[in-house]
Amino acid sequence: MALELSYQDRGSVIHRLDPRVKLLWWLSINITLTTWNDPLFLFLLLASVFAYGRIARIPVWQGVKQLLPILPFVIFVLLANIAFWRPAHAETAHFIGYVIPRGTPVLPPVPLYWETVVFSVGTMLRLLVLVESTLVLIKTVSPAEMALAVARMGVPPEIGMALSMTIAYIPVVVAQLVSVMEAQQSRAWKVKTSNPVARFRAYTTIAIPTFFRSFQAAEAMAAAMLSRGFGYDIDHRTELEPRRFSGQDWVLTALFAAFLVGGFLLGFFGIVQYTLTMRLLGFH
Amino acid sequence: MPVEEQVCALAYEGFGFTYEQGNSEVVRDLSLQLSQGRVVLITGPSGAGKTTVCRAANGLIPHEFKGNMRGRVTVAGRYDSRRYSVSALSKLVGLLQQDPDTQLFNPTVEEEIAFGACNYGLPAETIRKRIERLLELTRLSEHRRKNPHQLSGGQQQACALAAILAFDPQTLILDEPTSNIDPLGSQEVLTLVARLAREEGRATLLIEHKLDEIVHLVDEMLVLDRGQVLHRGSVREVLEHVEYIDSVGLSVPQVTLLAARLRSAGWPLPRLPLDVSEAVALLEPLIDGPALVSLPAPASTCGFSSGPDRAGGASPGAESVIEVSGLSHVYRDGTPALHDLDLQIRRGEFVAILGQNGSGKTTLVKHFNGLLKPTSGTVRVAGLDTAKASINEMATTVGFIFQNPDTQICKLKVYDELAFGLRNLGLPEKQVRERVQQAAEDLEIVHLLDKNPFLLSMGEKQRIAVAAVLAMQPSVLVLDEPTTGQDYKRAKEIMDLAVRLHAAGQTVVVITHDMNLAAEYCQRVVVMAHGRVLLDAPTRQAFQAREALQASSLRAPQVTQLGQQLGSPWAWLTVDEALAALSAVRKGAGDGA
Repeated sequence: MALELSYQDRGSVIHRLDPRVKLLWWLSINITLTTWNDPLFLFLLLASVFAYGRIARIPVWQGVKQLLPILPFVIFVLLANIAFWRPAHAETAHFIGYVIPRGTPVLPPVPLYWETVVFSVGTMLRLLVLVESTLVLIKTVSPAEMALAVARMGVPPEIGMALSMTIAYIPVVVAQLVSVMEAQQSRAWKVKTSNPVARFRAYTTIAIPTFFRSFQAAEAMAAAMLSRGFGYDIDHRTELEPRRFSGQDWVLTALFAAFLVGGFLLGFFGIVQYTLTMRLLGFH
Repeated sequence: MPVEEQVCALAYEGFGFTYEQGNSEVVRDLSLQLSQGRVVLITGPSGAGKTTVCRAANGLIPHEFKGNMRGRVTVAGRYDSRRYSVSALSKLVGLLQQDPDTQLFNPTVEEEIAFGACNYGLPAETIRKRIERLLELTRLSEHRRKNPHQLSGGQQQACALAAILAFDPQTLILDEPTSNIDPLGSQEVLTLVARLAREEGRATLLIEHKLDEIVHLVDEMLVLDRGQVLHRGSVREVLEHVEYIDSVGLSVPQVTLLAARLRSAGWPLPRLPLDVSEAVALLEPLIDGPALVSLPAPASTCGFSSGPDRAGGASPGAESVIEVSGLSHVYRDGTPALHDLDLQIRRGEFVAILGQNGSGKTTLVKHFNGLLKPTSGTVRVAGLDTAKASINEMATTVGFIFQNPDTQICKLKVYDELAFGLRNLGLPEKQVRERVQQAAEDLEIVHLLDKNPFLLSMGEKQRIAVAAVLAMQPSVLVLDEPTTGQDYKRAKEIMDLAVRLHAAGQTVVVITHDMNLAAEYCQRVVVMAHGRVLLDAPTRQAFQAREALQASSLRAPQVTQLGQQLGSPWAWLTVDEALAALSAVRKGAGDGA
């Protein structure tokens, strides 16, 4: 499982791209994401991430399967949004009913609007796009390549190392997580419960040892990278297969940069807002 | 060239260090000089300060690990570690850390090896040649395109070592480079290191617990305990204090310890042997060979076939508690791990599962408590089919003690940690309280119940982890590599604990690389290779099977080998057994000489 979450050279056109282009792809997706909340567009964005992954020869089922462990968290976010998010103008919003009816002891009434549902689905999709695009990035850029790419962009080597370590670190954390889960399962710890709150609480049990062991691993990994000369002299580092920015890299850079600017502006000016889907659903 | 005339590759002068979060020095007043071509060994129990010495060599201390450093560490006679960065010092001092898993961060073995050499800007052609040579040297050529995390523990360690050697540092610091490797693999890595030191004039500082394999490879040896040097000198000089070193809990060569005891008993031994062949040469003239051949089997033994069991094991007619039938397992990535394996373990047995890295030991035992499900075949434990049993059923049937207690501990109070599994089972709080109290008493940790486990020592954490499992009252106890990363004293503590539990009727299964511990503690040995059981026999018989052991990269304990070479028909399993046998056949012993 840990290896499925690490870089695998599948020899695709995406793998052959300059790492900076892949980083730009990820940034264009995720910066755009911050300004969009329309479920339809977010769904198309998620589909584009899967398509990009497919070009990188990552099977769609693998991407879907790797989203499953975060589903409790995604559902939690969805429910939290439904409970707490209200449209700006409740008086003109499309009321469905009450999640918590009026007159319930202790609890305040929680009304539910179509706007809330559409917006909450958008938020959920945002989270999925963020996670899936990050997974695709991790699987298509090697950690060392990433550190060098960032350093060559003028970013201090320490930041490059931190970024590279984050990527290299994911399979290590996953491996730690698996062994922690096995240790707890041996003591009758159960996570397979249909109650999302119980499931969330069950996960907190494994968070402590995973965090503790991951912290130790991070320290050791940073020491190992420095002990092998990371950041010694970035400008004169040897490249066994020197990579030049090819025509393909330039074309995709232009494409991703255009998407970044365009997508951001569409969101910024309120065009890709949840109201768009509301109108498509016939709510005016 | 005399040592005095050589450039000092690495020098510690009055080095001492206190970690930022600590309140006492972990290393005190260490002075040490490493010259080119020499191999220096530092050994010592856990907490002796060995890793701190390593970290200071390339500047990780004081630059990355903060604290108060005293004295000075100088590289290549002129670079003060306080004034140069870690990456600059590492060009001259290559550091290989203990755990290979966290040192491998490149997508392929080839890139892993090239990483450091590229950082130091070596010419591409030179790097390519070095990669080829190192791949060949470490026998990783066929794995060059693999992800390093797909390699076995030994191969990972070899890969991490090659990654250091690729940039050709003058000095090599190796912090327990064989902690995850089987005996023959360890021997190969250590021999390679010593060879490189001699052939390429590299200064090498080696931290090791396993002295058996390195006594002939090192020029100087230091024994460190609680930050201070207890003994230093040539290996032979230091091992003259073998009984004392043994008493502080270090693993010493069995034949050296045996000879020291024989000498204390009046045997005329001019020097202590360092290995089996030296021991044979020294002892052969002093014993009555024919008498040894006709000596009866040792009376006090842990083997089934040869006498009463020390810990009161299973009777031959006892029921099977673990029944493995036609078990095969293929991992999700398609890697086959077990092939049509059959095994039976009877109630009350104390069994060791041995085998080289990647032989399938851990995969097998993870089937015992349902962590893994068979691809084909069945595993039944105490009558339960592990593929169908619930988590609760398995947790109360098989207690699994993991290698690292930090994997298991998840609560901020020891009491809660011990109660965790019981509460998962849904037991009433009164019963939880009683069982926690009982387990804490058994493991002598009652005084820790209100403490935060994360703030305790590693030994205490290990006891807490064991207590938490025992509180579940499982019928079978599985210990996964209890000796890895532990000094001999702590490993023995864990095994002594297992013996106590076994004496109380528990079935114990231990996975280990440590042949001495397996011989000393276990009644039966199951040797695995390539996902199959290669040998399954009572311990004494198993350690006589030299060919089967060799086929799985294992080696019998030194005293067993000594007995075989002296002509004993029985395998000696411990130093005490060897001592008793030799004392009985000493020439002239009968006529009062």
